[in-house]
Amino acid sequence: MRLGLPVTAQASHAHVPHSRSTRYAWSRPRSAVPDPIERHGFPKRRENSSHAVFVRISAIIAATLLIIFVVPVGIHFAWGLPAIFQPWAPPTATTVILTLIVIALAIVLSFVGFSWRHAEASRRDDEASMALAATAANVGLWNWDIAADKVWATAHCRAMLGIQDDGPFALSTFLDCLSSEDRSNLRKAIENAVTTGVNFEVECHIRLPDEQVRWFTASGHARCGRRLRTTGVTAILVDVTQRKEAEAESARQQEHVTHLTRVDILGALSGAIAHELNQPLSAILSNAQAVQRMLSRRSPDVVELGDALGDIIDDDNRAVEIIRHFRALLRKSEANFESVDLNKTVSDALDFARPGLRVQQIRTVRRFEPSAILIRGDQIQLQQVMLNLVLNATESMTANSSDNRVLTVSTICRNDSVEVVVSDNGPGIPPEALPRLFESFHSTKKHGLGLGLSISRSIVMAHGGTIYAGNNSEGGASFYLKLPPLSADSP
Amino acid sequence: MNRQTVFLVDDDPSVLRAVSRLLREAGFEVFGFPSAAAYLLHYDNDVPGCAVLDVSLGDVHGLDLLRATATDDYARPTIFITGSSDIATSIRAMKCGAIDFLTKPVDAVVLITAVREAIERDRHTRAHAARRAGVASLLSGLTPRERDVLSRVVEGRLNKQIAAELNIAEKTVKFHRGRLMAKMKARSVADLVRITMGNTAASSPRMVATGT
Repeated sequence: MRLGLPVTAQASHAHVPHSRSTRYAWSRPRSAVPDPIERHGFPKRRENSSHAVFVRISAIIAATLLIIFVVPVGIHFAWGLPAIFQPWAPPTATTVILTLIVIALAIVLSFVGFSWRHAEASRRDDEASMALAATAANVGLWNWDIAADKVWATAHCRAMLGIQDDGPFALSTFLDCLSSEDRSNLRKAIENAVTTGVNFEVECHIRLPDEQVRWFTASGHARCGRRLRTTGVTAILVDVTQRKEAEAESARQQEHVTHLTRVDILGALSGAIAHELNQPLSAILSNAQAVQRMLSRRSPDVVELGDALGDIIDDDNRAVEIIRHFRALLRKSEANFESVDLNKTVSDALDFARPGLRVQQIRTVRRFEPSAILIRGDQIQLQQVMLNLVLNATESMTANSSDNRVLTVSTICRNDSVEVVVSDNGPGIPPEALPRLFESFHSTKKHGLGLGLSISRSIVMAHGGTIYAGNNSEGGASFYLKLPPLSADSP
Repeated sequence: MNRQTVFLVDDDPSVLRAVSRLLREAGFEVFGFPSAAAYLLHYDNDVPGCAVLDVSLGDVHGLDLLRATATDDYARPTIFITGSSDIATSIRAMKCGAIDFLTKPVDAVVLITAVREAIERDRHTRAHAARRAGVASLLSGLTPRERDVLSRVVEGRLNKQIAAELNIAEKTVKFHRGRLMAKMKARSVADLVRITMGNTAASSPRMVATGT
């Protein structure tokens, strides 16, 4: 009987090629001898488990008792008792009963030992099938024993991490596979799990030798031993690279569409912007021609000349500023989150839209918080949202007579949020359009893609805020933009 | 009318400054207004000059400003400047009696020429109006009988015919005729016709700056 004998782990460690593991070709082991458990399961533990030791000891005791009691009794019945056993082992009923008890005890102990061994084997079976299932699901299993600082990981898990060794390894070996930031995050999460018993889930990535990046989610919980002491951590490692790539691709697409709608907005504003640019150019021309005339005089007024030239410089700077703003909005760049003043962002957007508002003879009322409202956001994207809302309002107010077009823009600072409200006094939003207002490709306009508001919403959501709309009781519509304020602990 | 005054209205401060400077440099007296309201506040039909208006003045359209200031018998000659020239607006402006419709940026020579023309037209209009006013006061000094005679003299009737029509003696017609010639300060019948014809033209319901 191999009662609880430790099974030595096979040094050879093989991979049968299968679809998941081929991705981790960099870590394919050298040997090709397949062992179904070794292939997928944990490497078997070299240490004796406590109950296996107990089974062994009990078997030895049973055998010893058999030798001491049963053999002399048998000899006694067969051939008479040797003299040395005479005084304490007479062939009485007591002796026989005693002998039977001992035999029963030995049988029970053996049975218990066997069943324990059986349980051990079935546990190993469970472990192996779990590992198989985990591998099939592209999930790696791993256990960390705190006392020994040993991590047992399934072959698949090791392959994911690019660890060539098939034996247990220290937690630091595992952590070293990760980037420095992820490393400290995971270490903190594990420490937290061990001390507080809270489950952890951390996203991390590793960079492979060929510069390929793979993303994982490591999640698990602390394992308790006797007297509720934490003995280790049981965890899984899930490859989420595909999801991450899909997310990144989706973000890229989103950025592209955001930029396109911004270009669309700029297109709508371009006539007004050209007009705005014409003003400083016009002033520059008049000033320059005035200067020419002054210089043709016999004694030009030097002060007036200086004033004219100063005005030319100011107007030139004004033109440059308009172009700079236009180009900033036109540029395709990744979102750049920084601390921005919402008042200034809204004000800049309104200044930019002003020529368009003037052409439409819209009166703009600004009700701003007197002090700066700091939030964390992307200035250009927030201005895009504002321009979109202002353009919508402008368009809706063309239904009004030209002396009754009022755009009201307010910024409000609340305890837990900051708010921008853009109100018009147009005909309002048709009630049936309200529920689907922010959906893509849903437009109430004749010539609209129906992307403006949906992009606005995704921009606001990326800022951790919300946007909603409603009709005013006194007529017209209002759009409400709620954003989280910049808290003191934010970077 | 030696003072050549230009009233300039533009809601863009830098354009207002620049164009004012240019026109002052060209020898005009310039009054600049940053808004339609400021222009209206200081508007006086009796002040001679011309106006240079931006078409879009914030919430007021330049054409509306011209309409608001024009009265039955006088409208200040106006030049429009616009950032974006569209044909519809320019046609409307010309129909409103605008002297010219210029697109920004405006060349100095073009602007100054237009302003000179507008001021000349204003001067002409005012001179004519003054003459007209003089004739009206002369006419008011005539008696009803003299007016009867005047209208018939102007129509070219002979004294005999007038006497018959009015049923008075030819001698009396001659007397009235002599009196009214003196009152109208006319040296001849042709002179009398010229003076009175100008007045009938002036009595048409509306005369704008371009109608002279």
